[in-house]
Amino acid sequence: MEETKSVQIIVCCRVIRLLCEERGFDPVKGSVDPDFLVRMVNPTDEHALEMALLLRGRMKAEITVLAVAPPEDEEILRRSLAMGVDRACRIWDSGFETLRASATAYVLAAGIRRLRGDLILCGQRAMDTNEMELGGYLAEFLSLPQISGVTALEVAGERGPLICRRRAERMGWDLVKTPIPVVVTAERGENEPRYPTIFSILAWLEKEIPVLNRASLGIDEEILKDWNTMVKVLGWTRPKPKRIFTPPSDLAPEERIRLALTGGLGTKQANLLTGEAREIVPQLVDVLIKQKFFKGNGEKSNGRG
Amino acid sequence: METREIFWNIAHPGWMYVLTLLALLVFFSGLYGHLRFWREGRKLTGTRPPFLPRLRSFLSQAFFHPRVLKKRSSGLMHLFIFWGFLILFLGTLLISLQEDFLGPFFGLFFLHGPFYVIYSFLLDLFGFLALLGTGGILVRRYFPRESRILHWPDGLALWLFFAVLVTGFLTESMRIAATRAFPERFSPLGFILARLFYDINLQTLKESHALLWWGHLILALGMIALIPYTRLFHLLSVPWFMISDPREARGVPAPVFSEPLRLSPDRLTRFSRPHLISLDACTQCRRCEEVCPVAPDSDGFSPMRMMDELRKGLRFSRNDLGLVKDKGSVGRIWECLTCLSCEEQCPVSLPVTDQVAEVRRHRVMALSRFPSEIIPLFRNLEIFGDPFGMGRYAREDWIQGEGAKRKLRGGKGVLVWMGCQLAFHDRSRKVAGSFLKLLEGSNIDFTLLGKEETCCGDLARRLGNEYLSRKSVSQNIETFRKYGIQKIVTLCPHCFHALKDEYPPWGGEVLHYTQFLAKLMEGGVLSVPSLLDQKVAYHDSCYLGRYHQIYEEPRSILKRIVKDEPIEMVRNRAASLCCGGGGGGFWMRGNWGERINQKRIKEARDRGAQILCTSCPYCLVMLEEAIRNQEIKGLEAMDLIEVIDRLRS
Repeated sequence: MEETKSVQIIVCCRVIRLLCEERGFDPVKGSVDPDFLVRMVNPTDEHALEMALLLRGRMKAEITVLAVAPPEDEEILRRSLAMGVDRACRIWDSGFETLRASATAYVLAAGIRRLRGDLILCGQRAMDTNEMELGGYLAEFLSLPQISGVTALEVAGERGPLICRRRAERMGWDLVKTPIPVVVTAERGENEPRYPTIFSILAWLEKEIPVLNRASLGIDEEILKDWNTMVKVLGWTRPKPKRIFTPPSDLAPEERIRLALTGGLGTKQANLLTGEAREIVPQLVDVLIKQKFFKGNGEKSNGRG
Repeated sequence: METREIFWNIAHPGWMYVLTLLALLVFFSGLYGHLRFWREGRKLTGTRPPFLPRLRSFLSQAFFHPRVLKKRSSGLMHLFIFWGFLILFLGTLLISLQEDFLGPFFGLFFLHGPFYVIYSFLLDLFGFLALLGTGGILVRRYFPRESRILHWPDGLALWLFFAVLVTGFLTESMRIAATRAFPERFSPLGFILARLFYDINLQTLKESHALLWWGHLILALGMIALIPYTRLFHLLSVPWFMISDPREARGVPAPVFSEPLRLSPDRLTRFSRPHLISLDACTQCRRCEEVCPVAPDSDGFSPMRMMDELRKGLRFSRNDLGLVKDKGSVGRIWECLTCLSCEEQCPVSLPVTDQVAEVRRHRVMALSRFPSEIIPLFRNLEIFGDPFGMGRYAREDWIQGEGAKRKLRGGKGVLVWMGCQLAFHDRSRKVAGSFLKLLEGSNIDFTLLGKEETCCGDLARRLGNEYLSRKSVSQNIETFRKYGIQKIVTLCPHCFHALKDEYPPWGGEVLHYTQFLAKLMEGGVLSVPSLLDQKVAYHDSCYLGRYHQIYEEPRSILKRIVKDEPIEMVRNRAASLCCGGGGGGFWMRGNWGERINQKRIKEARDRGAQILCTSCPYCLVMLEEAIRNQEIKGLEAMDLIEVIDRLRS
């Protein structure tokens, strides 16, 4: 009997460059001071990677990370590879600096065909350009179905089908059952990318990552150019300045900083009032005044001590 | 001639040797178990501090107990027991020397005459002291609930002590009563006790004496046999640890990586030999637990329990940290604030904080198992180089005024090291601004690194991510070399500790601003026009005080700027209470830190302070938070710099 072949999971990762706020941007020259650039692996790509790693625990699979990235980004990439992937592959060639999502997907699709991927995962959204195109293009180029916005993956049999959980409206869930091969784009929500262990980090520091280029993938330059110029961005507007969030001062400092860091997203504190209605009502009024739902009659209440 | 018959009334003293041999066998097999456990430890590389000073410090600690005596009553009891049993042991050894060696082989008997008188008197006196000490400890351990013994065999050992002493004295007094030998009045306690037995007839007396003699022997031998199996083992492991202690400075966990980035396979998973010995050297005296700021509020963390769990866990799992269970204190190891109170209080100064660091490193770097709220913190440090995730370009945002801006990477003289807390936290930025104003106002040359600074590495290091810390350390050292930095003044004690003790030698001097300003004030370069007419108390920060013994500099500054004598907190200097923000506590969600700062602020209020002054940005934020939270009126938390600045403007 032939042993079942392991499922080839390919996770497409991208190193993004961010400018926090507008510092470092020279509007006259239209250039960016490289000192101010922050490079990191796209967060939702890391969520996709985490999903793949969780999936590998439940079925026979091998994970390959595929990235269109310049050599200087390899260092950033290795940090994510250390999360526990089996292989990594980088695609780079001259002229790839200006690839848009469509053309990137075209290049990636060529790479995926070469690697014979069964399950293709990538992040739903690129944090820098805020586009959500890559998954769709990939599915198109590979002629595969695409499930988008997936927060968790389950596998039903040995080689699929997959059960994808998507977040629906009003805190509901969609469950989608799909056979492999398929393209899945991941959204954050249910998993937290694992923190790599030092052994893995050190091992990946020394491993060589094979590089594919235009020639080895057999990419036609003209078609690539067509895809790259298909969408034109006409203009951007500057983002509105971020609302500065000031956390309430009666919280613990850690809590305040965490709130400030997350911009006010966090677990809400609940106060349970117990007792008879007569006792509760003044307490409730106090709480509402304290939370600034309405103004008290001038005097500061000390109902809760 | 004053002497006594050694084996008076004992029928077959030969059995004694059989029993002794048996006891020694048990003792050595236990000792072998410990030695095997220690051998499983990782060998330490690198230099150790010189041997002689360590030996000297051990001997002075052993004979005079200065650290044990920090707690007066129980320390005194320990001193009595130590000296009592030492002298009793030496006395028994002398008998053995005469009866088994010098007597039979050389015909030399020295236990008579004036020597015997002194001998007999000393043995009685020290035996009495030991009895006093043991009794006291028994009362202390068994009556108040909070200082109970952790494991029952240790209690058994203590009772054994007591029984050995009591049977010893009874045997002696019965012998005196039976023989009515008057030289024995040089054994005062035995002589007095003997009067109780004068009326008993000789035969009964002799029989019960023989019985007690054998009882005493068996108990004493049992005590020796029990040494390796109970906490009594500290009388071997403590000297061993103190003499082989590899630390040069306290609170500096041994580096993980060798240059270049290399990790020996067992570096993270195994404890080093001195650390294993130190686990065995813990006597569970509870002093650390009593001063630990976290222990009273925590559901399970206590330094003592952590040491105990580690010892049991590592011994059981053959020194594999991965097999130590994540329960109890080890599971709650993230609550430790690394305030060093435990090591300060520990009579042996066991490396508790280092062990916390070792366990955290293992949990983070080898297992990747740690509280999830630290992940964003690590990511921020990785990507942005600061815990706030603001990016290094934001480090210069707060700098006001052209003068200070010109100092950015361009100034001469001393480097003012900001640290993340002062460069990003709104409250602390004010302190940093005041400091620059002070320096400019008194025409002192300084320079700033601004965006070239990254986190000093303290936070990642305390939270166990040595890899991350190492990256910023080497980056910072490179920056120092690039700008030819010779002298650094830090505003944050945590940075101070990291730069001073934890960085590999980079050829520069590091000062905390309290040292720097104290010197300036002494030299008259910096002065205040008028004195502050408020009651000021000073809160010692852990990383300045206990880590570096900087207690007097901030006080000398305060004395120069405050009209009245500054108030001392009840817990001051080395006994100072942590604010709850150290060791990553500032960043974690748990609520233990909060209660600690409230405790501290209440202490300040009860002392009647109007201003609680500190010199650490973490302390400042934590204390201010507590004042707001508790709605305490008329008390203000301020940084020392701000107080000076307020007086000057």
